[in-house]
Amino acid sequence: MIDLLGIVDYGVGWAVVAGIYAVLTLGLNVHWGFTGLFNIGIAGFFAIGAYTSALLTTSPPNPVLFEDFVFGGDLPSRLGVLNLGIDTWFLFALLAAATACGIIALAIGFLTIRLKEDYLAITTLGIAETIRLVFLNEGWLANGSRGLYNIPKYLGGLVHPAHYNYLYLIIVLLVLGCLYIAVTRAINSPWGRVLRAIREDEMTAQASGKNVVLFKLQAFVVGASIMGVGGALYAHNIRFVSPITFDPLMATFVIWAMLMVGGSGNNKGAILGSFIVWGIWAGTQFLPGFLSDPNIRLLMIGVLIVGVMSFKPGGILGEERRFSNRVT
Amino acid sequence: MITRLSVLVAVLALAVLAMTSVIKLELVVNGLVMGSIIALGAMGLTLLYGNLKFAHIAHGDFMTIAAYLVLFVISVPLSNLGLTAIGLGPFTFGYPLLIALPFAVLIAAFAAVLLDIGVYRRLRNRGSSTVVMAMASLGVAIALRGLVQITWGGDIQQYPRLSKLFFKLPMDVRIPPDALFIAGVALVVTISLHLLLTKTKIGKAMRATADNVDLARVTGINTELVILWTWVIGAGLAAVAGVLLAVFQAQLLPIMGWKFLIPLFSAVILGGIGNPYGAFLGAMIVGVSAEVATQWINPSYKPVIAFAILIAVLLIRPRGIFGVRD
Amino acid sequence: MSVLEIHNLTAGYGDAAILRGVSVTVNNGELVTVIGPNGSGKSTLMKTILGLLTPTDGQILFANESIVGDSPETIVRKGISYVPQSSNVFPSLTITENLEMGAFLRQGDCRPRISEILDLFPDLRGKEKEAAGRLSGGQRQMLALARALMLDPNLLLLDEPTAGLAPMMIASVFERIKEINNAGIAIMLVEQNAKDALTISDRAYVLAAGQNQLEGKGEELLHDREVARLYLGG
Repeated sequence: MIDLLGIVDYGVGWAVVAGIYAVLTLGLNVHWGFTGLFNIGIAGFFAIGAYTSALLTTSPPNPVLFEDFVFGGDLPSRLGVLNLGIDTWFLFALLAAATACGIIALAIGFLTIRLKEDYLAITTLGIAETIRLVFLNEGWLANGSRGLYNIPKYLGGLVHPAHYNYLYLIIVLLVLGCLYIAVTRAINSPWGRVLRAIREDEMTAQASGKNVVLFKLQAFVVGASIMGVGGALYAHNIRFVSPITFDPLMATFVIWAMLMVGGSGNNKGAILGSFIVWGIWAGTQFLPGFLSDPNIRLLMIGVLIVGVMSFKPGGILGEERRFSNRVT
Repeated sequence: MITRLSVLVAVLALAVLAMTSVIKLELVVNGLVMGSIIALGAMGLTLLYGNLKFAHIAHGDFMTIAAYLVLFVISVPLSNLGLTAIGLGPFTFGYPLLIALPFAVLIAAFAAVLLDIGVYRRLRNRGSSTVVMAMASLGVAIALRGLVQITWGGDIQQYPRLSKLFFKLPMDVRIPPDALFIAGVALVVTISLHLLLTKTKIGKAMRATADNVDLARVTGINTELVILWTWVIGAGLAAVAGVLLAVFQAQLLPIMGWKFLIPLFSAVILGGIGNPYGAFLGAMIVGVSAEVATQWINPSYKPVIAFAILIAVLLIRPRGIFGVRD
Repeated sequence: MSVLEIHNLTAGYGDAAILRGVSVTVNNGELVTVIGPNGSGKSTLMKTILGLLTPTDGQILFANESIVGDSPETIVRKGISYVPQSSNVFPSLTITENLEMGAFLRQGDCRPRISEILDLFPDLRGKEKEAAGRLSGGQRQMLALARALMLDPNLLLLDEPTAGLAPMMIASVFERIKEINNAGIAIMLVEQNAKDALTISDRAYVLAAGQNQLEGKGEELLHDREVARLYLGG
């Protein structure tokens, strides 16, 4: 007797994570798909977004529980006063996560955005590692390796805990939808056209008087902020963050695979790729025998990336057809 | 000329500071040992960068897989043959490691050649950009690590070893006994590489191809053969580095090579891309700096020191010490 | 007997055709010069012969055998040597090593051959261990020429060998080129210094806008009024 409700429950939980990854992949698409920034340090922005939101919304540290960290924003209770019929703290948390990532991206980008793409890749790798080490070693910041737990549920009181996933799925899809619309608008705007021109041929874009560095920096900040939102959504889903949560596989490689599979340079592709790859990911659990070994996934992701690069670099949907190639 | 002079000055300053105990000499010595491991990886990486013209992100995982291959050879075939000795001379490991090492090097070189024929050559012929090649190597890196984790799991492993006392040298320097082995192997391999590059036809052809691949082709040099040799040497060097790293740290982890990428790229860029002598020097600088810094900074932040050097070079002098302007 | 025959060659980069039906012949032992304004396709012609570019139409016959589609290494092996206009030595290799690379396709000890070649280029003697990147412009040009001779080619392609050199060096380089030709090696020369090139040439072609314009003996074109007006500076 198939437990239909159980399957649907599982499916909803799966969709929540897929949707969160879709947000992160959208951010990567702004970096790589539209601007040609080779960012292999996604995990860094993922972590900053998650931690920012967590720190702002978690209760102040309790010394009795050996909690080392210094700051707990406790936003839900503090913002209780601002309840406009509905809790607003979540929105603030998301915005804060986006802003924190944006500021960090600005600082890093200031130093590094001029670098050639492959140098930028190694640099983003180092930055992500540095961020991880800081969170791990500075216990006062976010409780080090113990991590932050009991991150509050958004609108938890609204539904029965068993059905919360359905509510959160709606929230995630709403956020994803808004971001999708915003990014698509931005890409089709004059600003977006400059970005694509830069990706096609940086020297020509430079020659036509565009401040290439400024545009790249803007794209870097925008993409990072989106990744921050994804991180925050993630934090409020799992409700526990620690440095281990953001290992390279789950926080960087899988997102690259998602963008490659779906079609880089294509917002719809980014979202499609996320659901496909996450579907394969979750699906491998049910394969017989050794194929369900979680380590198989690492191998799978690697082979997937090599395969896409070798045979179909455009991904499933390929690049989005643009309306104009001119640089305005 | 100025940069070479400043490097010399820096080395002298370091020596003075160490002698007067401002810096602990032990850290410098350990840094040099670590530097020699980084050097082996970095020299291979820079040769690949110079001839294949892309950042080989899978280089670290080549180190990892070689280290694990040695573990396999020691634990299975050699063990079944009854060759289980450990504690060779003053070292912690036994002669089985020395037997296993060449196998790992050969397999790594072979794997690299297969990957070139199967993956990178196709992308090359298509005229793929350096980023696309780098991204493919990212996929390879992930797949290699997946293979390691599937086969050996994620727990810490070790080569069979016999604990030995640290050597006590003058000026309060204590070094692990294996350090001499590591430094010795690194030295022999480096000299061999130098001889290969300067005295053999294929070595000179490698340098020529790195200088100017189009000219190499019209001179009649078989550049595809040069590329295969570059892979053999690059992967071989990485394999030795991986095994030495596992010996030095007395542990193997699937992520060990990936974690090594930042020091490797720092050394390569510091020395000037494509220049193995620069990579050697860069590796020593990165190794010593990271160790010496622990006198004042939490040792967990050693990777950040290497990264800081990388950023500094990219911002101040992107071509590195010996590099030619792009 | 022709060493190189090019019939109606069409080639270019991407969609733009630079060579639009060019025909050139070089006979055994001849020194043939190709002159013309910038953008006329002179360099493209050389690159296409060498296999660095694939023609879209036309024939290239070397010793009566088609070499269209051959890789550069194969073409070099068949007996054509090429000296590109710029970046024509390996800067981090020594003079000796550069010459050794020239003999890459040859088995065995190339030291006697290197010695022979250095006899032809006395300027390079005594500097064998110096890195090519450290040489002067003229010395580098000599080295590039010397390297191309290592395999004793049947045909030598030289792309603007005197570009950017001081007048005294130019004369020296043309002397060398004539000496090499006198030793029996056919040479195809592409040049901006039209006057000097025509002086030593057996025959010459004038190329413009990717097509043949004029053809004749070197002497004739040297004194031709049209050519003088357009290419020799009146």
